Amino acid sequence: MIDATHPKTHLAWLLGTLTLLVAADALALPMYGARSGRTCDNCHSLPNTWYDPPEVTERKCTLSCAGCHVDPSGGGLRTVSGRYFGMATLPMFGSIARPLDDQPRDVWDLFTGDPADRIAPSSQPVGAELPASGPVKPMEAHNEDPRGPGAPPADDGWLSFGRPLGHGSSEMAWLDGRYGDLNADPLVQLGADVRFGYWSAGPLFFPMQLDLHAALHPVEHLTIAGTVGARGRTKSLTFDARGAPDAEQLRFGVRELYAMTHEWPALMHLRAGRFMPAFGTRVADHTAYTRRPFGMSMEDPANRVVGLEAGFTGNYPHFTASAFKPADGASQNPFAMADGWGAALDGGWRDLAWQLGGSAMMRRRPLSGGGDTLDLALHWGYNPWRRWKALALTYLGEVVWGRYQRPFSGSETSRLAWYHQLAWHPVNGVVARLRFDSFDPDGEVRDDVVYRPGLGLDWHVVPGLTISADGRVGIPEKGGPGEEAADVFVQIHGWF
Amino acid sequence: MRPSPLVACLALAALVGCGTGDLTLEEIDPQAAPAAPTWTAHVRAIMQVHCVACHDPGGQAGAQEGYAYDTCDATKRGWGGLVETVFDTAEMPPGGAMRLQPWEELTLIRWREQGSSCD
Repeated sequence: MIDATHPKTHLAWLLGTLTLLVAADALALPMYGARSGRTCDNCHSLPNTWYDPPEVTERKCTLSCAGCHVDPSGGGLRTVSGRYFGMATLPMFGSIARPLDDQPRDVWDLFTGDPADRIAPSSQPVGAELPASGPVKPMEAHNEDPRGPGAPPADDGWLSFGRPLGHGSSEMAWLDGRYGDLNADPLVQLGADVRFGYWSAGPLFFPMQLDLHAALHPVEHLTIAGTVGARGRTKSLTFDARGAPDAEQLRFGVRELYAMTHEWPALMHLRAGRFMPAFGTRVADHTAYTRRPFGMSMEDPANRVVGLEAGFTGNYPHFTASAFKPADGASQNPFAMADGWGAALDGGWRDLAWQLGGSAMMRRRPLSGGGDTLDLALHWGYNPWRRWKALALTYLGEVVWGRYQRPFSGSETSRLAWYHQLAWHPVNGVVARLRFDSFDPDGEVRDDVVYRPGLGLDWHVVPGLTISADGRVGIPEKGGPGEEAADVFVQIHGWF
Repeated sequence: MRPSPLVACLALAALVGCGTGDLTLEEIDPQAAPAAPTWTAHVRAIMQVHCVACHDPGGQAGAQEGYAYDTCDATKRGWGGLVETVFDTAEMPPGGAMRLQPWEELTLIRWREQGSSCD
């Protein structure tokens, strides 16, 4: 007889339920990763000859965050592949031309072009009858400029310029023409993320984020990258999140600064410095209950760490491990460390149709610095778009459970958060989202859970400009949905 | 055999999440909030994080009499509103904003019970 009160029974129920959730085809990707995966030339060095790609371990492409971001854990400065995706695939209007045959992507072209193209608005090059077999191109062919011989050097001016010493020294080097007219392998790359927010419940219109990014790539296998920034508040931009009066807050500070050796087989990397450790799915919503309460909110400098990280993020398994000390969130010295230490593990499998992964993070800190924590996450996704091209959906899910110390007493308790998001991509430049998250901040306290269903819309207007709107309903367990339960949150996001 | 509420909750939680506790924080761990909270050391930060974005005199909500929470005196004047919308119903902070944590609520309640010190 099954003992329903036995912990193993509880675990079996949980695993069984999760299995049902992920069993459809085994499962999905962060939605942009999924879309990038369907934009062949974001990964394949020559999409019209992709029947002869390099071995998987030798490729620079990946469905992990590192495919589009310099930071292997995601967020911030984009790689040239990420910029290319944002300029050639993502926007509704003004998408840049690709170096190869391609379907029209701007939205008005969808209504005048071949109807067969409309079902996959950011899919493969149009008409690409990609052979399953054929003449095998030698590996050297991958070092040819797809624009043809004699094409001018690609350069983006002051945003992205120069070449690393020994550029093109290995078969893994990025080559000009690979991403249209974008500098495929810059010595210096600059970028920014600027967000303004509008919150209907205030109502408030306020600067939300100002991050400036830079990366120096002096030689292959070495990058030094950093971000300085400020977080938004209703009246100003500040750097910290201590709850101090506005006038006492730090105005600007270093979010990340690290040296990294990378571009190794299987996209292995090793970095040292100040960064955000890999844990869970770094969803774009900085208010997600699976991020902020667990010390993973991007805007809080106290969530950064100073330490070492090693991992591999290629296709398809990925694994990252880090050991660190917590960053001093009240200091503008990027390497100032607070008392304590921690370690994080993140691993899993990211495929075109599915992903499944797990994370663990342990932190040992004095109670005044946040106390001891142990957080475990299971994250998954499913991308039916991969199989049914008319079904442009991506589902993401995550559960994070953690033990932590209550402030002041130091007694231990648990917290639990869930996140579900179903994204629909009806036409190029538009993503509609149905989401639900919930949070139980203290597993022993009654009436403290909050449920938060919502609808969202991302409009990628032109390259570098996204407008997002989210309608949310906060439903506290204590009182149910009240008069003030619904809000609308709008972000205007500029990036380059 | 009927599954226990916890098992049912775990299955349901896979989709929507649900709570488990059945006591108040005061009953579980009275030391989890400061025994003698003060405005400067404890309460101000909580109000800054959760309330002052809207409830300061320059904001639309805080401009109304009794709805500002940016200073100790203003918070004392607006205490009635906190009781109703924060402690009784958790209606505030509104919409999808993060609600107060149990230890934060307990801190505010104790601060009030002990005379709302502005130190």
